[in-house]
Amino acid sequence: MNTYVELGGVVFVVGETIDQRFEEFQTVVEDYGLSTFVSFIMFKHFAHSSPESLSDDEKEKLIDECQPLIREALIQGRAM
Amino acid sequence: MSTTCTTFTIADLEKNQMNEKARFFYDMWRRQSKNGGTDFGEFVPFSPDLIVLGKPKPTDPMANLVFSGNNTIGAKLFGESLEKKSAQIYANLKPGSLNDYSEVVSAAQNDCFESSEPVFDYISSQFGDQTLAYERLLLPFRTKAGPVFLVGYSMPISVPEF
Repeated sequence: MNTYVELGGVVFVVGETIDQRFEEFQTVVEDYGLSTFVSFIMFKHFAHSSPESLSDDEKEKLIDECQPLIREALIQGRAM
Repeated sequence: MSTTCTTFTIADLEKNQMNEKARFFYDMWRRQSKNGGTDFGEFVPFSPDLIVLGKPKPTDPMANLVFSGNNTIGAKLFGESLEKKSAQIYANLKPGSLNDYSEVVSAAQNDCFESSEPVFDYISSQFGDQTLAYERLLLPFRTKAGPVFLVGYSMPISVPEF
């Protein structure tokens, strides 16, 4: 099952609750080896790089802020 | 407006003929990429000074920006969250002053992306009566799944006020 869908250049992580979406988001990040860059983004917006200490709002924000990164990984992944 | 790009060699990097912090990043990259390594976690604390680029897109040169730290030249020129605004910034400037600049900086990005080797260069561009000049280090990061991203560190020499 796809854990994400891309519509109009926007990547949607599938899941009914934020915890489900965040879990799927972390799976995509892990599968593509993007952890370092997600840490960059966390460091910028939350001044730390520990996913465990994010609030629900911060998880939503992180998923949103990682859109360009994940979209690029998907594009390159498809071209391989 | 004209933009020039002077590329230095890796030997220049290794002979310390560059900014101390750039040399620090280069050494860290070399250490972490040794033997095909894909964990670049040591860069995280320095991310405010860095940008991350995806595959260069010749027809839309700023669209490959996926991260911009808050201390970068881009953030100073255009504000925070540059990675979300870059396409719009470029669109607003087309077909004006950024075209030549974008072509030049994208060419070196492409070299780095294709060769998977670092690039160290000097960029100088005139925007009206103001000069944008900086040295730039591009480091290729290959993720474990294959996609390649370029991490950039720029050392400002002259930054215009728009």
